[in-house]
Amino acid sequence: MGIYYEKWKQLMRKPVTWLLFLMPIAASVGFGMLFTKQQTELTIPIVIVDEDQSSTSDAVIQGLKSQTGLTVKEMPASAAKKQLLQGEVDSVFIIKKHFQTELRKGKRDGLIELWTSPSSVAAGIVREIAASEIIKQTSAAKAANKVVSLYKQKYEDQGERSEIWQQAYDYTMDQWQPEPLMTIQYKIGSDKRQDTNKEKATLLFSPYLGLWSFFTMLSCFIFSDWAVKERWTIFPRIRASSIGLPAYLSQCAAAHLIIQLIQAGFAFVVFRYLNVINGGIVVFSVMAVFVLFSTVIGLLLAVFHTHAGPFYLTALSTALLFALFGGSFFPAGELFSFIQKLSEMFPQTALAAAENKDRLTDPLVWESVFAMAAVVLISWPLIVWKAGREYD
Amino acid sequence: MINISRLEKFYRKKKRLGPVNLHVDKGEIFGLLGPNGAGKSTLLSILATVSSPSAGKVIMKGKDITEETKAVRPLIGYVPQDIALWEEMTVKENMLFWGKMVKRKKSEEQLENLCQAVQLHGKWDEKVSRLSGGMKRKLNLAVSLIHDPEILLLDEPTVGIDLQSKFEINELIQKLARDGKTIIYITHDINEITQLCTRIGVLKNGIFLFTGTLAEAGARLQQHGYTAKNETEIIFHLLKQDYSDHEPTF
Repeated sequence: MGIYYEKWKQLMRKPVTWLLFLMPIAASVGFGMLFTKQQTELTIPIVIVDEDQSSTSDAVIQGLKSQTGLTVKEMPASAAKKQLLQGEVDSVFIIKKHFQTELRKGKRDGLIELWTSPSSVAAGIVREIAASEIIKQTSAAKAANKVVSLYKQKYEDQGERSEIWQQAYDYTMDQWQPEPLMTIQYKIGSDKRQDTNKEKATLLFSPYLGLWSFFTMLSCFIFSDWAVKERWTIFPRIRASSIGLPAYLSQCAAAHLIIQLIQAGFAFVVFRYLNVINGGIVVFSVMAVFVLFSTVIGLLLAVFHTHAGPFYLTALSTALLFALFGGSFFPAGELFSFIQKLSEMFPQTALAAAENKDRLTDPLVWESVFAMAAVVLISWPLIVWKAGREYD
Repeated sequence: MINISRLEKFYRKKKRLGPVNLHVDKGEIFGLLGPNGAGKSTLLSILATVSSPSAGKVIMKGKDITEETKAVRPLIGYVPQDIALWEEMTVKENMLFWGKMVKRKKSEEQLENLCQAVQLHGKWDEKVSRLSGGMKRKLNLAVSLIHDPEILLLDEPTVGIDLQSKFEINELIQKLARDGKTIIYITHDINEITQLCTRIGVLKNGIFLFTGTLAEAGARLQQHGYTAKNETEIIFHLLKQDYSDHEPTF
């Protein structure tokens, strides 16, 4: 433990240690805030052309306006077409004439016409939002029609039918609060493997934790440069000493690991204080395993390099690769199905799973943690072998 | 003290050393000479247990370095050619750090005394990066003496330093030999060879062309029809001439 302590003291005196200690926390909080701000400010501009001018079409427009991801403008069809062609709006929705009448009859198809340009990137999303709004309206209308019909059968010619329709409609619309279609919850604790895989596809990071995973991995990698720098100077003498190279490597790695573990703990406290991540001790535990994983992989990269320059380049590339495929920056799995399968193998899955589940016993969490531990156990003998092999 | 028999080293299927046979007695300063790439550092790194031999045996104080590596390492003090120190640390911190690498721990006072012995006066709290090349070499040597080894393996310990420091290091090496330490010393400096070494070995292409004293080298040269006016010329001829047609001496 003497070497560990001396190395620890040596590291604490280096300004670069403090830089690498603070970088993951500062960068993830800074970029995380920026990302979250941009996310809330980012809206899709759409245009509604209301040809019906009815109370129902107005209700649909108000419903769309209440969506946070959309900027809704109303204008005549000619102006809307012009804006679409100029690329100023993503898509145009035309609420056709007799929209209210048809809707009250329970018809859904062909009531709204959609214009999109080839450059439209969000038409699908907007269509989904609009469709959900229409479904709400038609469901309520259908329910109200049914109530009026039943009322008519039971209490012939008693009371005002349109009033009854409106009351039934309003009551049904109230049942959509808070918008159940938009808040489908994951089924937690499923025993079926197939279900678990489906859950993986929908796991999302807090941007803070995602960014932290990238910057921590990068920090751990750069922190491992000592193994490159000491290779041709310190290592031969260590190898000739009583303690030997494996003991030196493990104690130095432990000193570096402890610093990064404190960093992870500090980051966790900051994230919790800012209330930007979900989950408790399970998330921290997985963060700790992630740090161990990153430290060992960093050391593995280091022992396969003889010069610092190429090592830093590899370290940056590897960290970026892990971040892109692991979903640190964005859910990579949503791009292509093969990337989704690939991203499940990356250690960030454990962090995302821990944040979503907050249970260490959840298969998604412990399987990923086990995989990271396995990589660490396999890598360590390889590190010792490679570091010593140079001199043979 | 050191017995080397039929020692060989291959690297990527290419022979780098051997077969080498050598015997070095206690208290001897054995100078290893030879052109660059002759195998001097390879031989020293095998003796230091840094790299392992491909064939042959090395016995140090009755212990096989391959089979009893852990028992042999406390006997060896190794000074690699590159300065094996942490530049951003002070002399004291370096000594304390290296002091952790040995079995028999030394007190801070003992370590400071060792630094005094290698003429590092008043540099105890100085950062290594601020030391001169000569002082770094002295500290490099001091580190190898922390555990009081019986065998010292020195790979060009005075390369690229000022005359004053070189003189002080050489004096210390002679003192260590007088104290009974066995020293194998790689150098390209003719003065060091003539003044320090009790015996020399000339390596070329991984094999010894000659081992013995300088007087024996002179006699051998005469046998081959060369005349040398002084020791410097003897060494010059030894390094220059190709003895590969002749049976190497052991």
